[in-house]
Amino acid sequence: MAQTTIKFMAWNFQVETVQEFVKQFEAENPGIKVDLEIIPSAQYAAKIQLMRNANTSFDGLYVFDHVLGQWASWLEPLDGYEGAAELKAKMLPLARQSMTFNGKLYGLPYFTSYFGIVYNDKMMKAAGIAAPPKTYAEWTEQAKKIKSAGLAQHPLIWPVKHTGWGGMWIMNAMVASRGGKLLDASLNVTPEGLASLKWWESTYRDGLSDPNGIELDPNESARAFMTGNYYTNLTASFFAGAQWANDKEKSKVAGSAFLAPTPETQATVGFARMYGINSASTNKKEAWAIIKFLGATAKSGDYVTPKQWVQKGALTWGYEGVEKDPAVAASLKSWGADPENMAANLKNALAMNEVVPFQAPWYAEWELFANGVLQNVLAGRVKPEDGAAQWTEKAKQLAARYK
Amino acid sequence: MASSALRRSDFLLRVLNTPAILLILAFSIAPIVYVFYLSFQDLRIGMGASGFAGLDNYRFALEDASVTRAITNTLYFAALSVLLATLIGLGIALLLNSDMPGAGWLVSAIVLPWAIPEIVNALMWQWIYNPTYGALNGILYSFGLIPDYRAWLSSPVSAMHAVIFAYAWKLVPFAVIILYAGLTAIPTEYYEAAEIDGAGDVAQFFHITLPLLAAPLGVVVLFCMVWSMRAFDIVYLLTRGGPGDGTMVLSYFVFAKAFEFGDVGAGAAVACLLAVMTFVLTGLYMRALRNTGGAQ
Repeated sequence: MAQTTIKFMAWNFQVETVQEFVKQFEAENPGIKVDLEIIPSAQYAAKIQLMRNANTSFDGLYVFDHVLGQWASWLEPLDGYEGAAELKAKMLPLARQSMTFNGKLYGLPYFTSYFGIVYNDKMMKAAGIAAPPKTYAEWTEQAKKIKSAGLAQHPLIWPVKHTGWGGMWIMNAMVASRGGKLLDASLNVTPEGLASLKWWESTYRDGLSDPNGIELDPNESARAFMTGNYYTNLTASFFAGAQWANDKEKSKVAGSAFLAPTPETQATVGFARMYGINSASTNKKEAWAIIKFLGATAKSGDYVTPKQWVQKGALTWGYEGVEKDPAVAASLKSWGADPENMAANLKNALAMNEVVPFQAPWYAEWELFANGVLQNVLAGRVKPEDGAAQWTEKAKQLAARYK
Repeated sequence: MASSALRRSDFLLRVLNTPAILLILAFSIAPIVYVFYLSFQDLRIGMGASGFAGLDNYRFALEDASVTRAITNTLYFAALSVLLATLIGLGIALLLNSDMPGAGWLVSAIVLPWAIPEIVNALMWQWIYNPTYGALNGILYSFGLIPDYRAWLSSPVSAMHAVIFAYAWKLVPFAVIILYAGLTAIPTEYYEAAEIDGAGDVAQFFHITLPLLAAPLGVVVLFCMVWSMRAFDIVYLLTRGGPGDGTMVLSYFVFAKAFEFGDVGAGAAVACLLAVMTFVLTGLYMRALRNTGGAQ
């Protein structure tokens, strides 16, 4: 039987798990062999862009939602593929919105995640606090109480350093929780944006946030939280999972790390990573087969890979109803998560482009700049008002250049 | 008869040199010309067809505060790296030249950092500077020099100096080798004559060693400066230009602009500016060196 080999590009998250999924796909599709190439995630976007520019052939790939605006010109629109319309209809709004650019669908969901407060329940109770914060003022008070009780030198840790994503996504979550956007239609920082920035800066000024954390990326801040020295970490939901904060072997807070919603309105942002197809691929049919297997259903019609990701990586799904699967629900409950609650949060999470111009071709560049400004503000080197002015100025400059 | 033999050998020389010239043209000259061409193009990935942009990319680059900051950072990074590497290199070279027992072995040990690939060097320093388990924190803390572990890369000032030190460490072996070779070439009679005339060690250093080391010093400064101006790996792995834009140097800026954000035209324009800066600084330095008689 003739075999078609397709090249699939992925970043280096749980490589063995991905290899296992590829084997499952090959077993189900004996006519297709997958040449899986793994790239470190920090270099992923640049490497893929270079490969594409150099016309190096590859068929399927992982896609970051924050570069979709840049990559849409060479990614294959998926709307016309068999079964795509049905899958699109079943997607969570967060997944659908994150993977759609100018009305066209460019990916199937690898996973979705939303931002919430991962908190240390044991520390909270030791300080006599009944529940995680429901307002920003309450969050400050709780952190002060924990600090003054000597339970933590700096109760709050944050993922601020930009590696894939960083502090600006936390800022987006904070702004969403205040019911606003970060930038308005004229690209000025909104009052909600400035209020979030000022509050965040005050936690560093008051010694509640760990100053060393400014150079920690999402993974590093999650590992820091696992030491048991912190009260909260506002971060992506999967960091509360059994592979991170609730990892019984590696985390000192396993069993007492829980996920709470953001304060105030409890609205939050989420994101979706996706599987896409290179429009220059000569094996699009086979590429569609693998991204459908990984990002949706196997031939049985079941969400085989998305369900396994919940169990093996605490990565949540992009389709409605996945949480109802008994194995998925059991996996979530094993680390203290409520499947229904998690599903509701994923369903209600706002896509980033509802808070910032996430799909503008200049957004990725602006985000890196803005993250640098954020670090300066949090470290007390720049006033929040000046930082916000720098965000606006850069956004306008880049938007004019990319017009 | 003789002139025809000369013509034949001249022809042979040209033929033998042709592959090298072709390689230089293909891999050095052509890319430079192409980057120069790109710097005048409106080429942004994901933005459709490109076209001639005139001086727009250069205007954008020069008006962008991030580029100005990257230029300042690059100059500071290069100046301090070269100064550190040269001073430390000179000190070690003098030590090696002072009939120290085991000097031969020490030369081999000192060369080691030079043999380490840039990326490995950067990874090694990433571990050394780590805020939770880094060796630097461990050593300073155990000697009571710091009250608590520090994040060396969390403020622009300490991050810049941490990156400079890590980069200079890699340059030192080159400086040592060149300067040590220069020192061994100085005739001992000069020192003997100076001693007879009553000159002390310091006088001998400033009146004999340093003037006669001018040429090797020139080589060290020139090469280290060119390398420092285009330093990339160490910044990429240690700080990625942060925190803020505290360690953003031009080479990393070009990479991010062109390859991460797809603004190839502006990236090429900044790369051309970097090339011009390096060329001008090299020219000025060579000129200064010629005026002091060092580059003979």
